[in-house]
Amino acid sequence: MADVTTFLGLEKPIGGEAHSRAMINRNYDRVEAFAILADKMAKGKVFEKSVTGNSGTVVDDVVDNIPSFTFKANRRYEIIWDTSYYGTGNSDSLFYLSVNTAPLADAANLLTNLTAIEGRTRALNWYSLQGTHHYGPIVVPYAPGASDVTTQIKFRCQRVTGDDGMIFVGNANEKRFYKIIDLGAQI
Amino acid sequence: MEEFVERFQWIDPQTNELFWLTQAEIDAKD
Repeated sequence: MADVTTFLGLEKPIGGEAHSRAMINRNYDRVEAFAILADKMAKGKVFEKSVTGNSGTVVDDVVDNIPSFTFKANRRYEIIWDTSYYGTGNSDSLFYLSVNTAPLADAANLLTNLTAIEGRTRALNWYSLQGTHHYGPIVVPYAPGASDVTTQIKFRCQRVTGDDGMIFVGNANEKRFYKIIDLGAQI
Repeated sequence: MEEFVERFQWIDPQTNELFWLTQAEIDAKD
């Protein structure tokens, strides 16, 4: 009689698979089904970078970028940007943070040709010198559709009102980081 | 708060990656 593995339900003929007359092709069907399922599952983190230097004083600038990343067709992703920050003065200032796609050919600091993913994703209000803040990561979903999409990703801070600049923190103890997570097949 | 040193955008010409460097660090690359 055949043993059955607990995970895939594969049959293991006593005589050995290759030469067993009892062997029929169900195993291959099961392996194939599992391979297809595994291919659709989340692959987890597919890109990560951490930064250990502060930004300069940002008014409307690209703070960080990923020069090129290929999002594979028919999959879902999350792009995450996590940073602490502090303002340079004590005026009442409002900033928007966003994650954008941009053409590969564009210089990293260009602010044209940007397409904000999920719009302006976070507003930061700064009104006095209060030390460093942390608001939690910004997370935007991205699904490339039926074809692979290779794009530049730009993480932007944009002042909307006020007179202050914003400095994005990075040091050995408090890294600024961005990463891309594969969530699995697009549904 | 750490001592404030202004940093500037510097783009790696090989990789098009953005860095924020001090003026001294930028001068050292030129």
